[in-house]
Amino acid sequence: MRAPRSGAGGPGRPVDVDALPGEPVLSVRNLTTVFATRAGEFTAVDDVSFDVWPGECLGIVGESGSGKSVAALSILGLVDYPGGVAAGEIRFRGEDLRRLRPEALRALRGSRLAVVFQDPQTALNPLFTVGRQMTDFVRAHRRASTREATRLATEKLRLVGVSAPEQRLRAYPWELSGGLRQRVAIAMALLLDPELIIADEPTTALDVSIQAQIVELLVDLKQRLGFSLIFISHDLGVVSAVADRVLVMYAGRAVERGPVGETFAHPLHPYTAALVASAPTLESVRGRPLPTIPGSLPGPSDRPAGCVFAPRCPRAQPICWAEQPPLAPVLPGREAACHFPLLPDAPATTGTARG
Amino acid sequence: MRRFFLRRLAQNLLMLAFIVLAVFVIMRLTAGDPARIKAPIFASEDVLDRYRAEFGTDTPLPAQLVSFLSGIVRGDFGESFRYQEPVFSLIAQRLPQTAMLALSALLLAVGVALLLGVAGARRPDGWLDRLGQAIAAFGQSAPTFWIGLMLVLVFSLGLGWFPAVGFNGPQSLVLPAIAIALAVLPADLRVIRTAMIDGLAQEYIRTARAFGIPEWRITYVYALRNAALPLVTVVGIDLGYLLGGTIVAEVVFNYPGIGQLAIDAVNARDYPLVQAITIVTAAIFVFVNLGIDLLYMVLDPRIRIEA
Ligand SMILES: Nc1ncnc2c1ncn2[C@@H]1O[C@H](COP(=O)(O)OP(=O)(O)OP(=O)(O)O)[C@@H](O)[C@H]1O
Ligand SMILES: [Mg+2]
Repeated sequence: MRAPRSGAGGPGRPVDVDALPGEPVLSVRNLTTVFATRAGEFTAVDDVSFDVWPGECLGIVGESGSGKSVAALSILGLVDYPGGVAAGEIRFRGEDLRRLRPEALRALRGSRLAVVFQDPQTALNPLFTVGRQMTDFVRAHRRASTREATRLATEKLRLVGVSAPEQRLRAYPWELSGGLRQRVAIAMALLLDPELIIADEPTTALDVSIQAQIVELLVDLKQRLGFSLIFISHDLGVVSAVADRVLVMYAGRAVERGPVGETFAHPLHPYTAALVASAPTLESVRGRPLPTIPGSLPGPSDRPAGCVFAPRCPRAQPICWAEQPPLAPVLPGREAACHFPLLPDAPATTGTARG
Repeated sequence: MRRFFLRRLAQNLLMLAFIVLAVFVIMRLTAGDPARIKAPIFASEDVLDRYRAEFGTDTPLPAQLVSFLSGIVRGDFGESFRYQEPVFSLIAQRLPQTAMLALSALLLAVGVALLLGVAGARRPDGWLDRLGQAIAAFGQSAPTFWIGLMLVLVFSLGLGWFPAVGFNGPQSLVLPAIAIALAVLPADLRVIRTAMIDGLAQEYIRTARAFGIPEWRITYVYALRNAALPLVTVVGIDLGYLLGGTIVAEVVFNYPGIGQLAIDAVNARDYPLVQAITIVTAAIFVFVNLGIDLLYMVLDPRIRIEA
């Protein structure tokens, strides 16, 4: 499994996780999250493994319904009934969160492990002022007077570029604009200087013009404060601006993993290639319809026995239908779960079978 | 917000004035001659006239209305025909008893509804949820007087735990309060359970969990806060019902409250007493509702800003 470090990413851009010194902040192994539905069990996250290193941003991309949010919630231990993590290890700084007592996990959430949700309109409580919510969060973890907690909240709001923070603290979330609300949500995540922030599509609900500001803010904050970041999005452009490495998910499975630049420039997995081809870019000609990936995500009942992408894959061979390819190193620092990965030097149709 | 409140106050006072007038007119039109009740059966017209003069029912209706209204303004509701005591002091004796009973019943109902509703919302179809549904179904189908009689049969005549009738201390409150509470409990429970399920499903609850807010706080502060408005609404409706429910319970348990007084007064065609009780009750109802409007504004910042 151990591949040599490629070094292509330069310093501060860990490329080959296994070759980096030190310990990952978060190490997820074989995470499997299952929902009990009327039609039977539905595996929303299927045997997914990844690491997040100190100061690194891991992007997670994939179509809607591919299990990105469920993976994030699994890490936080917040998968709602009737779902639950069925298998796997979630090591945060070496500690398996699945084995932690509920109280210890609660104490961790919001202090060392924070989250920014997609839609600040619904993620913030409309019945409490911004200040009340922020001070509540502080005081769930620390003995602090209202005064101290308020001071901390003010400081963090200032840090995320909110002007007149004292005034914002007295406002209700619905009195703020969308962009401001998301800044508040980010300030909340920063309250107790977390080591890892999970941002689940933090820009999707925002206007395009504001998306860029929020992305810029997150990048800048990460650089200055040094936290690790899991950035979930289906906007490949945003992910390539923020993330160092990327994990591509499809139908609950990790299908490709690698440095973000190389992965999007030369995808190994046909699904990643299709995702890149269907992504709107600045260069894409206006008015020309974007190519879409034919077919749709397999539902709970029609997941194939082999590769989950086989039904939609232009390169599928009989073995793809029969045998599930594991996520395995293909190139230095890059992994794909494909029998016929798109190797840069090989013509598109004549990949060699592995496994 | 103040404008909104003042407007509501004016509306309610107007409604109260209308009730006062309606009570006066309806009593005169339907209740008959109180002198005939008070006087011996074969009393002569002379005797009846003396009673009428004493009661003030001999003067023309407009004159009666004027003295009635000017009395109210002075806080003087006249003297009861039957008890020959100032109506005001009669009500002042009985009202606290009824208020105590109604509040006990309300606290009991809301308390149990909160406990079972929250538990039911946290774990739908759990045993506490089922228990709540069973109690609600019982309270909804069994009439208050029947529940009252059953409670007396079992707990006072049978087990001897509580007095059956009258009022001699807080233990006399228990059975009538349970009987009344069972009538309002089903609605309370349903409202709280639904609002809590809705509250717990809000995304901001997930946010609170993700930020490490303890679970008890999420339930009893965050989600319950979401249930506060429906809860206040249903308590307002309860209070309206309690006005009637306590009358039934007071009769069954022979409890010396204002409901009993009202029934005696009606039977005796005791105009001043009936009028005063009706007006006082209506005033309580109106002001409770006003208080609930005010609570709404305090509880929902969105209403507060818009108003
Ligand atoms: N409470 C639930 N009960 C049953 N299935 C669920 C539940 N929550 C999520 N799922 C299923 O899990 C799968 C993954 O959902 P998830 O929300 O993680 O997708 P996603 O990748 O985050 O998509 P999006 O881009 O739309 O946010 C979906 O097929 C979804 O239907
Ligand atoms: Mg999602």
